[in-house]
Amino acid sequence: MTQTSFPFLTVIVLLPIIGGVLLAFLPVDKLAKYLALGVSVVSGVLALIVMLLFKTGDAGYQFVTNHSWVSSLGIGWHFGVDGISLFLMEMVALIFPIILIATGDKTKNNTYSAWLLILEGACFGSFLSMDLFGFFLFFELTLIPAYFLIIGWGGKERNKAALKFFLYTLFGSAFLFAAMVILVVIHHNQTGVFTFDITKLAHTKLSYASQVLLFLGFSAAFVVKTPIFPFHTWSPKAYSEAPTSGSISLASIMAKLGTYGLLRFDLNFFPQASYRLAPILLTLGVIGIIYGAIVAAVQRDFKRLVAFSSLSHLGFVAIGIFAFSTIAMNGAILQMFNHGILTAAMFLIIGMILERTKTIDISKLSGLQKAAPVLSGAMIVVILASLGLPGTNGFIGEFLILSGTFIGHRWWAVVALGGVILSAVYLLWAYQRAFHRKAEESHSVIRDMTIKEKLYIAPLIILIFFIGIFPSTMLNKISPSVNLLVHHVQQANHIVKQPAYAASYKSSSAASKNKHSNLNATELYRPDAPTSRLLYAAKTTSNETNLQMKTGSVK
Amino acid sequence: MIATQLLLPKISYFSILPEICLIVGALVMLAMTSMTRNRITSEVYTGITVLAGIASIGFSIKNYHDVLRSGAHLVIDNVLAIDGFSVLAAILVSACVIIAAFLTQNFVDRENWSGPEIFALMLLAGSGAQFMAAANDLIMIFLGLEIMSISLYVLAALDTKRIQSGEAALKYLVLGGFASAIFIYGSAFVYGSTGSTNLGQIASFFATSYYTHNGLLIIGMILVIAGLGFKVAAVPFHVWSPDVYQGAPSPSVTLMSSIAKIGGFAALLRILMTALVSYKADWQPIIYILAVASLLVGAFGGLVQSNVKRMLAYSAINHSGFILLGLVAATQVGVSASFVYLIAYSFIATGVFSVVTILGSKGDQNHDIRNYRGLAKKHPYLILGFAVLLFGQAGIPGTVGFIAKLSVFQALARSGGPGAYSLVVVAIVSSVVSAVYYLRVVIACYSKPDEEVIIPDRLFSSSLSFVSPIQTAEGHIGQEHEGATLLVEDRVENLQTADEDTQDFRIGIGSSIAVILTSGIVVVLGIFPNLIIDLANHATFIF
Repeated sequence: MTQTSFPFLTVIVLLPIIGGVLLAFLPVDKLAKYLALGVSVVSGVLALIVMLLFKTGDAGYQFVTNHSWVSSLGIGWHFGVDGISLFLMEMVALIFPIILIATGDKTKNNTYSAWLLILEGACFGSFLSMDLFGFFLFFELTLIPAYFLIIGWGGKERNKAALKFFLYTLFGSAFLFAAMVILVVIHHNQTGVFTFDITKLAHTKLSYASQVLLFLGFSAAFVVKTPIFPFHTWSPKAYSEAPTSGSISLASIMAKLGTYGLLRFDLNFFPQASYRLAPILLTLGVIGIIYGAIVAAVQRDFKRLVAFSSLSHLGFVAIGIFAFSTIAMNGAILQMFNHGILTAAMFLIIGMILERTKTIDISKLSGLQKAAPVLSGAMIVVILASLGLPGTNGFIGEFLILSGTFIGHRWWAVVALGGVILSAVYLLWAYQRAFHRKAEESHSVIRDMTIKEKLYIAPLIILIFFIGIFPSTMLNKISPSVNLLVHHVQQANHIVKQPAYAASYKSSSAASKNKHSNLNATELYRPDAPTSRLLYAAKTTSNETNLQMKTGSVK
Repeated sequence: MIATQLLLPKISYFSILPEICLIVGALVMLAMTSMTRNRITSEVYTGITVLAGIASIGFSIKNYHDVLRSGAHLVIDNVLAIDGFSVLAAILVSACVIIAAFLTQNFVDRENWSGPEIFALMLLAGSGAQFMAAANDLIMIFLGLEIMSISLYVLAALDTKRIQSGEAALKYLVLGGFASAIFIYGSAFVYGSTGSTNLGQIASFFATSYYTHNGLLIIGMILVIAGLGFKVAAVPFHVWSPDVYQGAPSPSVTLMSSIAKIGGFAALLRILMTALVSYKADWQPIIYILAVASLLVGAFGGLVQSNVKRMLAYSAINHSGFILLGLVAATQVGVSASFVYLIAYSFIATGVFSVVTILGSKGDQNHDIRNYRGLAKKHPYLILGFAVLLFGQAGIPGTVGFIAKLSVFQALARSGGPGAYSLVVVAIVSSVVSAVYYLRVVIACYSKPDEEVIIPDRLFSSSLSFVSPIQTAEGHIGQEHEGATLLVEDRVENLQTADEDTQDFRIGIGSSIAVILTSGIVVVLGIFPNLIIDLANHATFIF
């Protein structure tokens, strides 16, 4: 539902892309980074306005714009934002301007800023698209700027890293492409409508077998992109060879495309397959948590350490999604945002260290704390948040995920809890080695954070504490959509019999035209469904108990 | 005295004006050269070629409007069909000829070629492809095929200074002649079993009669498919293409890779979808096998190539597999999808070969992937265009290559035939595998001059004997017995000394137009695919 007539989302998506393309061809070498920053900030401000105008308590899509794009293939220019995508959009809007400020030094020309802007637009596009084709388009489009950022400004082995990253993710998305086409064709065969609209595709009736196959096809792309163990092998190389901007975009933003895809598409289109195959994903998530943490502990390269710690933290997100409890899923979405903020901050600080000492080999660093107290202070805040210290955002995310998972999938939560402890081990140990000890000659006089650096780290640090102390400001906006999604899955699996919002349905003419009238009951994406927070609270608890009873009876 | 009256068909010259324009353009150039004493510059030839192409497009558009207004019709004793498919294919062919002409202008200046031959032959080859696309009779298809092929044989041989060019042409001529013979042999079988060579009459024959023993027809059908399969380089009829692509002059390859495919596929689609459509169940498995083989051989064969032209030959084979997917679907949606793919592929292929022609630098020899190192620094915009085109080949979203792949996949999935879904998966895997070699080229361009390019293990490539006779000839003419490893080392040395000056070339205006045009089309059609999808929906056959 559009609150205003201004096409916010279209502008947010298109502005950086058009700006990027123009920037690549305009002869503005010196001005390029300021122009890029300007474009990025405008997009960011628009995204902020969207968040302020976003109706809390509304589970459906808001700010929807829908235009026909490729009419003969049923492809639409269709954007919308709901609780699931809102903060991911904000994350993109916040982090890209910071990247542009932080990394725009003299070695970077207008092409560099152009690629970053295109990447920003593509990330916005993937999070906001309500059209499967549009999502895929932007999802793949992210590869190209990331690829060029790596091969243009990366480390020594950047060519290999870029190729591996590109092909691995492309291979995953190939399955998504096939599954997407097949899903659309099945929908076409059932309804006679050829469309890529995800709200319509969610009504496709699929047998369990085809759900499983399509689920695997969709997930292939997402688990590689995230990455989830054992599909992570491209990531350490790519993260460590990429320039700071590339590492941040890969780890903080593009990784979320994977988890977002799992959440948005797998759960929506294939609720039964998702529910029944969840133990596999949960197990992989838990293995990722423990394995990532153990491997991270023995890394000498700081960036590789973050790569493996990402694997570990994104494992939490994965179990949060596939636990199918509203609490855990709320936590997963919050944790996606948190991870974006924390990883970005961590890579930025690592970038500063690299710039000053010319190395990020932990064993060669020592005693940075004496020379650069502010930098070390920022790092310890980020590390503590990352390992989930209460009062920081990391705690909220992990706590919600673990407690939500514990309800239905007790033992996975128990094992995953070990990851929290292990993350303290590797992060604090790394901090100790690099920042404490006696300073080496070469590191004893390094410069502390400059004002510019303080300025762009500050918003991230503030957010760490703000979310840690007032998580409800975000959760209130997230939870309606999450409730709806969890309910959708539970209903498809006959865990709850009655549709929760049944009373509030207004059957529109479009819905009544639908040949499969029995599907109307599952048509939960009704943006105008009136809701109140009280209803959520009641429903959430009832869903949890239902889930508990179901799982209990299975055992 | 009794005069036997020869029955001549009524020829409607208006309908074949697009073809006539191209032929007249060629004749004018040849006549002009022989009549003037002064040397005519390449700009004039290019101008004439482009004008002929534009006139041809103009008349094709007029035909298109006629088709839309008064419906498709047959002309000249029913041997030519003026329908949506043929006029759109004619426009596409002319467009490719125009782009190739722009590119050739710089090429002939660089190589100091004089004379109008290359331009005249390009126009003639184009007219042949247009005739093939419009032909509604097996004999007419054969005529078009020969006009196109003979022009292409000569185009391949035009570089008289390089022995490889002659070798490529000879290979192309011998194998191409063989394929033409197979095609006409198959046509004879089809004629023998149906009593006509006219596609419409064959179709109506099958509408009224039924064979209980159709062996003769099936043999004829297989031979026809094999003959045309050669022209479009579908596996297993592809073996000529890597050698010919590598050896022939680059502008010739540009044309070979685009219009030969348009003509070949137009004829194949028309024969199978109109005349033999009632034997769908018999030819679908054959096309299925050709498609799978082309997809896999094209994808994996290209992986081990270090010569870019050779690699692109495998890429062309791979794309043939994709175009065949629309034919496997065997529906009108499938034909449209194949046509979308043909449009996309023609522009991408002409564009990519344009860049390759430019990068070949003087002598047209500079085609090893190692020579591409560091090009992005020297020619950023050219390489950006190249990257766009290569991403288009790989089918990355945002380019028309993706739309083309989406079209054929959805057509195939919609047809719901046996094995359709598994074929989609094979095709997608193949597209990812082929992306590897496109990316290698991009990476090479963006790496530093002294940096190691990710190339296949030397031992691997030589042990599989992917080093062709041509490659051997390239290094040591007349010393074919040299070991392959030695050869590679030797070449690397040569290249390292050559690196500096081969990259310092000026990009001519004609080549720039070709690259900007094609890469622009690739992106614009990728973002607004409605333009070609709607057009392709009009690409229907008369029956």
